[in-house]
Amino acid sequence: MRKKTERLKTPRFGEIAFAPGDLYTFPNGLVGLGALHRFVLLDLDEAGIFHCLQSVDDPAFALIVIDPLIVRPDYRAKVDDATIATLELTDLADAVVLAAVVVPEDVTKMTANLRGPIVINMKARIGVQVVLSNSEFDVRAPITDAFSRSEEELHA
Amino acid sequence: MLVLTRKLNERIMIGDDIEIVVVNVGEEKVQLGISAPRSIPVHRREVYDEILRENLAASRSRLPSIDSLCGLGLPPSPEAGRGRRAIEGPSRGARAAHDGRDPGEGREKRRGAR
Repeated sequence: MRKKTERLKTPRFGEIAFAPGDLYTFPNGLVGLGALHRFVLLDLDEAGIFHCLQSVDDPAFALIVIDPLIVRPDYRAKVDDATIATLELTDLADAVVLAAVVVPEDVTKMTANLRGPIVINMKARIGVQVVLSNSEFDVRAPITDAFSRSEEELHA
Repeated sequence: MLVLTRKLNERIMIGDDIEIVVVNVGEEKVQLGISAPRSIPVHRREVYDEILRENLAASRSRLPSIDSLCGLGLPPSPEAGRGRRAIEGPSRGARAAHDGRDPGEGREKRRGAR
C-alpha cells in the first residue's frame, strides 16, 4: 500500500489523499486541455461502474468515466502507432479504455463520449485521449439504453 | 492569418518539425499530409471542438447519485468488459499500403516525427 502523502482540495470530493505513485501522466493533456497532465483515478460507486478521472493540475476539473464496453459491447478504440508510442504500450493487455460521461439534469439522458476515449497504460501509468475520426462511435452515446439492454439480457 | 498558395505535392514547414504537404486536390476537397512530433496532437477542427465540448460538459456534470442510478437498471455485472478488450492496435497491412496517411483510415491522421 502506497503512503498517501499528497493532498488535494477538490470542489467535488473535498480533500482527497493520494500517493505520488497513484498519479497518471497525460503527456499531451486532454483534447483542448493540453495543460492537464496529472490525474488520479477515483472509484465512485461500489459496483465499480463509474470512476472519476480527477485532475491534479486543476482541482476543479474531473471527468466521470465508464468502461465503454458497458455502453457498446462491440466497442473498439483503434489506436495508431504514435499513440501506442506515447503510451509506452508494449502489450495491449496493459491498456484500459475509458469513456467520459456527461450527466444532465435528467439522469436518464446520460451519455458517454465513445468518440474521444481515454486510453491508459496501467503499467506505465500514462494516459492519452484518443480521437477516433470517421468512427461509428458517437460523442454522445446514450448510456441508459445500454443499462436497460443489459437488464433485458439478464432476464432473457 | 497567413495565407499561402501551394500546388500539389508542395510543402509548408511550421517551425522545424511540423510539415504539411498537399497530397491531393479535388473539386471540393483538399487532402493534406501532416508530419508532426508525437507531442503535437493533430485533429480535424470540428472533431476537436466536439471532444473539447464533451470534456468540459463531463467535467461540469454533477455526480450521479447511486440512488438515481439504481432506478435505471445498472448493468448486471461491472465485469462486463473483463476479458474483452476495448482497444485495437493499428492493422499492419492496411497501414503499409498507404503509409498511414490516408485520412479515411478510421482515426485522426497523425504521424510521429521519427
